[in-house]
Amino acid sequence: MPDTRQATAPAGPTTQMSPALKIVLSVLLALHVTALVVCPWSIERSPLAGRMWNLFRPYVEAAFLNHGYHFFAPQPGPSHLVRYELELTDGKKLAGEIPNLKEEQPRLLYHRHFMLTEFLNMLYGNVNGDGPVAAPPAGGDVPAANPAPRVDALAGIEAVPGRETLPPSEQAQRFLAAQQALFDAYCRSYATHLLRKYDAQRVTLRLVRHNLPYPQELAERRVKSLADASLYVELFQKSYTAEDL
Amino acid sequence: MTRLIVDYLRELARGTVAAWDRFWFTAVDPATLSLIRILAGAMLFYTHLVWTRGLDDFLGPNSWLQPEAVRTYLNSISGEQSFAWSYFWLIDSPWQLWTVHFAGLVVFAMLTIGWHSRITSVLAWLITVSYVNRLPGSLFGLDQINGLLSMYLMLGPCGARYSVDRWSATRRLASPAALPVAASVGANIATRLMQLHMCVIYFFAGISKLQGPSWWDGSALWGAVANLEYQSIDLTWLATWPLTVAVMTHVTIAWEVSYCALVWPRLTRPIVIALAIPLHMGIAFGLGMKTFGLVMLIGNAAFISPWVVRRVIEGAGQGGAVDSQSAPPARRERAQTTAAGVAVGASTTTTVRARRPRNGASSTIG
Repeated sequence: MPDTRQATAPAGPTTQMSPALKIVLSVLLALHVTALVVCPWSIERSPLAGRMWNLFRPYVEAAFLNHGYHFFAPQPGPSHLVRYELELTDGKKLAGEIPNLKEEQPRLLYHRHFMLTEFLNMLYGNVNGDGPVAAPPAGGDVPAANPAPRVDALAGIEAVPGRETLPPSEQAQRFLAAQQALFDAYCRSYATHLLRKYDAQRVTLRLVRHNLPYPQELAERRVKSLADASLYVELFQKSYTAEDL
Repeated sequence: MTRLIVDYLRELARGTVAAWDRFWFTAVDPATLSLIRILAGAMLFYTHLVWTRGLDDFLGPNSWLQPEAVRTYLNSISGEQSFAWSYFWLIDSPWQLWTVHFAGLVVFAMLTIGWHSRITSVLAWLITVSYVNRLPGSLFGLDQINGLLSMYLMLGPCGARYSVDRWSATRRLASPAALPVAASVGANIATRLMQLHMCVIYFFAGISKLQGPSWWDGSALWGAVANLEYQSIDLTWLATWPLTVAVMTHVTIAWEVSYCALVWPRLTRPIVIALAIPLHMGIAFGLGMKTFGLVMLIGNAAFISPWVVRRVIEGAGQGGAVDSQSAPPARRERAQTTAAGVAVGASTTTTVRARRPRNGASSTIG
């Protein structure tokens, strides 16, 4: 292995790089750093950020730089599970859920499964209107995306109490339809995996929200533990057969 | 008046150009980049090693993430045909999948030990991006940081120190000192990009939280510790300690929002980086995301000066001669001044001019 007492690197504020090369590198560096900023900036759908994002889209998508960095934002929220019930070809039934810490080890593999459920919930939230609240609460993230129109009002103008809410624009309706198709595609994808893995005839998927207890509820024992049954709410359910898929 | 404005604009332009030149194009010791290569390489190796256990479930023909669904998603966020690419789209048999997967692990292992680093760093980035672009839906912050670290490692001589490459280049010499490690602009650019990227991450992570009421009312950290799916240490006793939760909440967001400003001045940088440790260790060990917590600390390592890295790893300068790279800035300036611009140390072959930091906002890695 290498000798740790290695030679000293000469340092210096000046370099022998040609001015032309410096200019080219400077332009590339400036573009790259701008791209880094534009991605998270575009999350909130500013039309200006959206246009800039479109300019950088090929680069940030190809280089996997298309991130919002909204960790734990806007605030830590509930987590989500996918519960499934399978009818096997021999007539037996099998139930399970992801994520499952007992089965998915090491922890990173568990977290991959956890992200599957959070991702499905994010898509569900996009369709059902609780967008940012439904975003992955922690390590998960919202990707920068083609700027989607606000569904509830004109761009940038929130609905105000006492004022009539404008109906969704045509563009917003197209966006919603695309999000619904995307949600359906991921549900089918998860169902396909389960049906094939267990050679089952039918699978029922349930997206379940695991709400957080308030500190007072836990302190006063109104909620017995974080796994208290009252904290789980089913958001969505759908069955698929092998023929459907 | 007009002359004053013109003079100011001229000075501004000159100062900006000089600062830009100094910031990006100063050649630095690649010690920090080499350290990050080891840490990031090990993290890349582990991250992908874990995929081995879930290879069929995530990348096989019966994956949770069927290709049609993933393509629909990628095209939907893109608005049209996505540019996200992956060689996994070309793989259609289990033996190809397993072969490619193990080849990837070999590349990450080679990068970690610094064997053919120039080649393996490029391959490591290509492999990393291929996995993540095939697996939207199972990704989280770890993958984003892995992506940026692997991207910037390939821009500089990440195998210049602490590597098999270095060992093989010097093993026939009487002493490694006979072949000095060259300072490198590439190492500087790579490290600078890591630093800036970390600032962008923390800034947007911080300001996006400001939209959430619980970050203002001091209860946000409760939302993290009361989440059973994340929990790896039971901290629900904090339910009766609201003030403690509030302090942790406010410190967290103040740190994140101010990171991009306070990490640059030499005086505040150690405090900012030191605070990163409990914060990310809390995520690692309290919220069950050891990999995410650790990889964020690896990103923060970009702010560690090469002389600190060398002092810690090599013990350079301990009671011996002070050279231009293994001494803290104050001692370095003194040594350089007394040596009339000639770097001290038997192995040094070039002259080094002392450079006084400006207003404390000095080069962060020099």
